[in-house]
Amino acid sequence: MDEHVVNPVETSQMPPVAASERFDPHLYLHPQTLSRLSTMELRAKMIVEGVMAGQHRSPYTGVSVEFAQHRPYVAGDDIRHLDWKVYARTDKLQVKQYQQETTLDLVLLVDSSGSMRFGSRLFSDASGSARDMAPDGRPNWSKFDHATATAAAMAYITINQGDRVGLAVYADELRAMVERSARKSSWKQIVDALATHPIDRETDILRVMDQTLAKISNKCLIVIISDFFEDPEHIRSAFAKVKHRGHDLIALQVLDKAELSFEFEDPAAFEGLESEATIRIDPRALRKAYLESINNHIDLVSQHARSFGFDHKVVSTHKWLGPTLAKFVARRNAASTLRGS
Amino acid sequence: MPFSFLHPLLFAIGAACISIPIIIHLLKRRRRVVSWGAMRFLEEAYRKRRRIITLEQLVLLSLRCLLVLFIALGVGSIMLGRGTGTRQARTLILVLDDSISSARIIGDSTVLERSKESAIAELDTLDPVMGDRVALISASSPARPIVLPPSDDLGAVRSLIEQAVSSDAAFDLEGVLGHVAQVEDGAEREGGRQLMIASDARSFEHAVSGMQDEPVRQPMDSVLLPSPEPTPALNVGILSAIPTRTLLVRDGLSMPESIQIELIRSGEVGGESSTQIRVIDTEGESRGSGVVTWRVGERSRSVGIAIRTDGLQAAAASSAVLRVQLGEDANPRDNAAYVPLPIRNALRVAIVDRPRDSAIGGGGEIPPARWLRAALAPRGDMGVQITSVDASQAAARLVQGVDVVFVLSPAELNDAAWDRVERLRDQGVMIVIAPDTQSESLAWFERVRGMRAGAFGQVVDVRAHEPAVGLDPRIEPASLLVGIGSEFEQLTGAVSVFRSLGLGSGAQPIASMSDGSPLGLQVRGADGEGMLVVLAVAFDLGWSNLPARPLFVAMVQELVRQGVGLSELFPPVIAGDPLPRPSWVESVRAIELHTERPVSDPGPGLNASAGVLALRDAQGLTRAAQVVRADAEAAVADVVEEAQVAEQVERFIEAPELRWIGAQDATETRSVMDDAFGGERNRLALWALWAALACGLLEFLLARLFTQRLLASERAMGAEGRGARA
Repeated sequence: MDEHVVNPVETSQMPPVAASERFDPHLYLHPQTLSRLSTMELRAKMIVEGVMAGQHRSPYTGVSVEFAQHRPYVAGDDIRHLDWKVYARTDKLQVKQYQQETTLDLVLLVDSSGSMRFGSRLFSDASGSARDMAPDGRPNWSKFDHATATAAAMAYITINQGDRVGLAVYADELRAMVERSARKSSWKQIVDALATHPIDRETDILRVMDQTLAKISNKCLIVIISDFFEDPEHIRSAFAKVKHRGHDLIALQVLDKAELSFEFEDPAAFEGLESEATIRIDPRALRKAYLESINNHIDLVSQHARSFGFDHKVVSTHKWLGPTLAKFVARRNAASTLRGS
Repeated sequence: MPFSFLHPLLFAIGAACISIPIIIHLLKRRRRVVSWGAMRFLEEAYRKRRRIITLEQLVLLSLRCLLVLFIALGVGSIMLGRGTGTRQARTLILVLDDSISSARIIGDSTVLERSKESAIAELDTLDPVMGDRVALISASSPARPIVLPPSDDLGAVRSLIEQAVSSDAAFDLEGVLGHVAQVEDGAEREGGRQLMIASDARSFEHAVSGMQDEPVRQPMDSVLLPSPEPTPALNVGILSAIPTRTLLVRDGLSMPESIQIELIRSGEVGGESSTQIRVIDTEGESRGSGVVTWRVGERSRSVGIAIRTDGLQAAAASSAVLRVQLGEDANPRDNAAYVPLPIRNALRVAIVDRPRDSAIGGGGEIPPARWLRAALAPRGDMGVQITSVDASQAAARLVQGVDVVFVLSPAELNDAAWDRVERLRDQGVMIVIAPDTQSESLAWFERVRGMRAGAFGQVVDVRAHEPAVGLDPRIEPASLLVGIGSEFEQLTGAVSVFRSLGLGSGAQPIASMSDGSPLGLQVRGADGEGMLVVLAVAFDLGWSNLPARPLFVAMVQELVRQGVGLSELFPPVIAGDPLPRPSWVESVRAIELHTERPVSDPGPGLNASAGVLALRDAQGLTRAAQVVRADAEAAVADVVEEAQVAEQVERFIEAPELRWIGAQDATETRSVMDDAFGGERNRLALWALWAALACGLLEFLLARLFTQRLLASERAMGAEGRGARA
């Protein structure tokens, strides 16, 4: 069992966030902590702060501005980048090439379909007496909340590194889009777009991917933050389109703990969030078949992603974001290295 | 297979509880709604498992419903094969025999007590919850509906049964059948209708045999009858007790007094036995006694008991009451009879005649009034107070307070006077009318006929007898002169009748002439009316030499005393028969003998008990005594056979089933009912409860099996996979 899974009892026993605790990256990145933060902006900054503070423990190397390689000087190169020491030893003009010089656009695709509205954690569970409801009145910490927090954090990190970030919020089509930009102000636009968009409709990732790719000309790192509750074949096709266009992709599959365990005991009526029919079932009787089904689906999504060389990670709304974001940073580094070479 | 329920309502409630598991199931389905994101996987799982889940749920739900159903069957006491279908509500018509026969003693109990036990035992088989009802009819004459229409308040009916006491009346079968017919007519539903006659078969048999008309047969589903008591018992009852003379006049003629008693013997008459007879007055003082020795097989006896009348005091109105008491036997209720005896210090006689010289005329003629005076008081007053009333002023002079009115010149009375005479007769005064010696007109006779229409013939004339006729020495038992029958026979030889009034037949003659025509006619009026006597011969020697003969005194004395006594006394009424209610009677009170304390006004059914009743007029004065006699004929204790009773029952009941209830004890009765209902009920109910238990166990095991299978599958999947995935 993951040590960071916090159950409601533990949550209720958690003291309010104290100043000393803010240095604990686990706390910063835990959804319970995030749920206490009223604004998306504050939430994202906290996440990033947590990620940066935890770098020393990360197995991945950092993203500092480091030397990467030399290349011969060509006319037009900025002479400020000439390596004078090499010139002194070898009498050859070599230009120093740094990693940050290789910009990598980040495109965040955040799923705002109806299924993302689900969340089994209560706001009150996490926030104690601070907040009982989300700013839009929802009482739960939804998958969309988790997705937007993740997306905002990623955008923040990327912009701070001087790279461009774009955002697309989608369901059955693109519903909002923020053009890629490396300006600090663009991050504010991204946060606003994430915070205000309604969460409904069904998902059509194929259509969305077509619409997205049509707007992207250069190579990008596309991060899809979604529950991927749709036809695996559609997902595979979408991944294939991304691969065909030469983009890199990280598939973050945001799932609620209840969706992964299905630990309901009493018979109940289950109604879908994307206009599916309501069914009345005894959960105990269906648990096995359900878990088989959803695990198969997760496996398929993961398998499709890996088949194209993409990363796939299941993100639980009940767990902290550290590993997820660390993997993101590492992936960016790897991509940067690859691009720089 | 047809089936029924002992407690169908309980079964219905239980069966309705079958809906409980279904309702719980539906409520659980409706209780909670979960908004779910991963519906596509849930739907997929549901599609895979739907048939199995539905099957499991149906199996469990069916078992739960069966569990409740079997419990309901057990509680409702299912019975198979009863009747033609489901058990319908029973209507029990319970005829409780509280007649005189029910007072017969058997061991340390009575027939009535045993009948009550049988009735209550049958009552306990009813179930008001399922609509059973009971009607209760008292069989003692007159039969009374105690609970009618049928009621489902079995507790109240039980209480009424327990309060029942034996009466002195017979079993009123005709009355019972009339009430039973009402139950049938009033029955609105076609439930089982049972007639139970909780009776001693003896009284029942007596009632059936006493029916005159063939009754309409009443349809019943079944009839319950007590088995006749096989042990014979000896019983002696008093059929009647009549005083020889019906009027006791103090200081009058000292005549011997006796009571003529008719006895009936029944039951164990195969041997000799003796019966003690005592006559006591209201003070408890013995006035006479005797012993009757019965011969083998003898069933009835008439015996006269001489009584002492000195110092007798009036207990009811102006009558003394004597009690004739027999020794103990099987039935105590027919061992007593009451004998009222009117007492007068003096007889008050009014003689209505023309005012004429009472002295003997020159022709030696003696006026009728004088002959009459001489006969009434041959030696001084002799306890007779005589008042002469001028016939022309009779309307005003004739006042209340006389015992007898002699009308010797009826032709002289005007209409007002006749009205007055008639009114006195209505008030119980004896009226004696003799032909008018001074008038040939017989118009007065029409008034007499009007006083008692039909009692006298249509054609009336005065006939001369050439040669003179004598008197028939025979006296009929019903005649007022029966008390002097022996003297009459001896004294008639010297009497010659020269003229007489031709009276038609139709009334009781007091005596007859040798040509067969009546010497006079006596008419007992309606209850409470005075005796009316019309003589065919005037008290005149021109009509007959009777006034000059010794017979005349005896005849007049007897005529007056018996007539006055009978005018005051009402004929005894047998318990259960209707009481006479003359127009002047305002209230009836029971006289408690030996305490001389009148009880309050009698309620309905009072005449079902033997005793003496005081009849009171509007002024509250007791003017007459009414004796109610126990119906000794209905108390016979002869042994009857079941077949005999069954045959008679079929005369008026049409029922496919006749069941005999053991009369030995109530326990036996109970066992009969248990055999009929209890055994089968318990057996089937037990099976139903076993089935319920089996369903409960099976449901528990299957539910546990299904749950274990789920848990096992979850364990097989392992939390590890989910954790790793997360």
